[in-house]
Amino acid sequence: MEFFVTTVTSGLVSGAVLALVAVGIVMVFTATRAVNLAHGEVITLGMYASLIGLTHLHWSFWIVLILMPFVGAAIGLAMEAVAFRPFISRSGGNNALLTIFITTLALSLGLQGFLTLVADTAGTGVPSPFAIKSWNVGVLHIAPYQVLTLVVSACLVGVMWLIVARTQLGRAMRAIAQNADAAALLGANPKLISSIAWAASGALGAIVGALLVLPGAVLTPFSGAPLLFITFTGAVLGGFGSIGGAVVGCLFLSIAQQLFAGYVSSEWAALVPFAILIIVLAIRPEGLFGRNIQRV
Amino acid sequence: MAPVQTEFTPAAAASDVRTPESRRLGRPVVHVLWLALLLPYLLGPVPLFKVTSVVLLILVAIGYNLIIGYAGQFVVVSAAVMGVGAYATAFFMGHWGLAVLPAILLAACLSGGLGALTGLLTVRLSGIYLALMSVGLAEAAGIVMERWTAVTGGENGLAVTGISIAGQSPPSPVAMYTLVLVFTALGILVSWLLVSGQWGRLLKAVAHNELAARSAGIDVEATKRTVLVVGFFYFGLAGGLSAIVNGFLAPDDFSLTVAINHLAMVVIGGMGTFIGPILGAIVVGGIPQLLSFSKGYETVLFAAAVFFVVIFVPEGLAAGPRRLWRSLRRNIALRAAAVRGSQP
Repeated sequence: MEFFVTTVTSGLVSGAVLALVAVGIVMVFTATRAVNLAHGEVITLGMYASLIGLTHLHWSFWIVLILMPFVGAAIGLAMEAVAFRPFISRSGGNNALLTIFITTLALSLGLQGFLTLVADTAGTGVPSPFAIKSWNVGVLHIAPYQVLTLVVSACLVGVMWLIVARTQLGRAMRAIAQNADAAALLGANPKLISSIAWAASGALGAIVGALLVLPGAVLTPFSGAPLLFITFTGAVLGGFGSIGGAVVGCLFLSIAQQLFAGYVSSEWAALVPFAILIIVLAIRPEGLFGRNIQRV
Repeated sequence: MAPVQTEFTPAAAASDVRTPESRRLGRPVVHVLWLALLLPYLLGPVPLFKVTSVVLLILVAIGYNLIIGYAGQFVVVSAAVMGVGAYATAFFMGHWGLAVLPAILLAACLSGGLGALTGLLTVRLSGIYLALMSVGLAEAAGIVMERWTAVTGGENGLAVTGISIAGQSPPSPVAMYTLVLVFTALGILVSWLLVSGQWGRLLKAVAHNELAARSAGIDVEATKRTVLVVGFFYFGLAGGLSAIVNGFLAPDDFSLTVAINHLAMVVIGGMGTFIGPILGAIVVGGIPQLLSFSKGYETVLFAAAVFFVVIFVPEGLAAGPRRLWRSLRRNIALRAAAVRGSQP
């Protein structure tokens, strides 16, 4: 029982981090119909920015956490300007999707290459800014950093969901996703909305970077990228495009992976998300919670 | 990338019949291949080895071009399937005692079969779902290569044993070069036959407008499955050859990053053209070999090159120098006008 609770808790915590990544990707997808394959590098950059703040400038973790959204928003806007904005006006439809895939992939590779030039590829260690000692409540053992991760993720996911579902900004975002020209005629500003989505997505990515160094970590230029593909799986489970679905998908996936690692085989646990992705897409191409919409 | 026509019209199909660049360029390519036979007399063993690994990439680029460039199926699995071909070749030689040629061919056929299985999973998907499915498959294959230590040797890598070409063991660089060149020449010939005929038009019809292709009586699913089988065969062949040439396999050589590098070859060369992947493989594969940068610089330059091509010369190198120059000037003018317009 104790083992089960510990396993589920750690699954929940890593799932919460994945959910934040997923919400960032889904935000951009909702507003622009683009998938940012360089989002993993937003996380990596966020991790390095946290590293600089914590170990070189000796700031407290709270200051780093508060500054991170601004760093991330700047990264997000820069990515939009480099890998997205120049390519949308010219081509339309499926071709645009392919172009953005290629440009964001190239950006991702380029940033990884740049980081290998300026950072240590063998890895840079960051000590945990928090005491690791965990709290015990009955069978539940939970570390302070896990609680903080859960709280921060829950708050941010909640805020993002409220913005997309309940505000005028979110409504404009969804309208632009459906038909940018019609939405623009009705007064929405597609360029502004797209920039807001990229900035918000970047901010979330950088916060994820800060949360990931919380327990202490070894950073390499390739730290963020693997997270991205697991997150995609979670987002696909949720139907790619709904924030709630993506969050549930990521939590489910992460807990399933931890349980598999705990009870079946830790060696093959890395395969679980991809196996689930392949099975889900083969059976229900629109995801578990996605609606089946045929576009002709 | 060439601008994709959103509607499939008889005129679009007819233009492919009138001026297929594959017809124009078939003969020059054959002459280049003849000249390539002279390289062993001009180069020492080390440069020849580098040339061999670049020539090998042509097979990968052709496979990608058929799947993505012609059929429009965004399936980013080249490196993973190469891995399957490479490890299968090593396995067939090491455990079953097969000779080099049958091992490579069997591994390529196995990869082709894998293409058929992949087709079963992917034909219903499109857009991001297709891309994510392929990423999932590639990542899953990568994890298997890393963890299935009994066959792949895991992260420590695997030394390929029993390599012998025409009685030479280990084979000389010249023998390996000749082996790779022969397979690549055959690969180019087959792709030329495939894309300059009806099948090439079939693929383009499916890529341009699935609905129109379907209503014209084309079996879209069968076409997609076939192109995956053919493309995967090319990847598997390249993988098997790389096992022979390198003599050592590690999972890192078949990661998603490598697959993205392969994709860049096709993008820079020119998608959906006959000559594009060949040029792309030579340029993208060859320049790093010539300059031997550190890995970081190489990746940064690479990304910059992809951006440059997508922004300024979307047709890729296949357009030829004159059209490239025109396209470059036009796109620079367009960009300049856009910048002036947005900053009054």
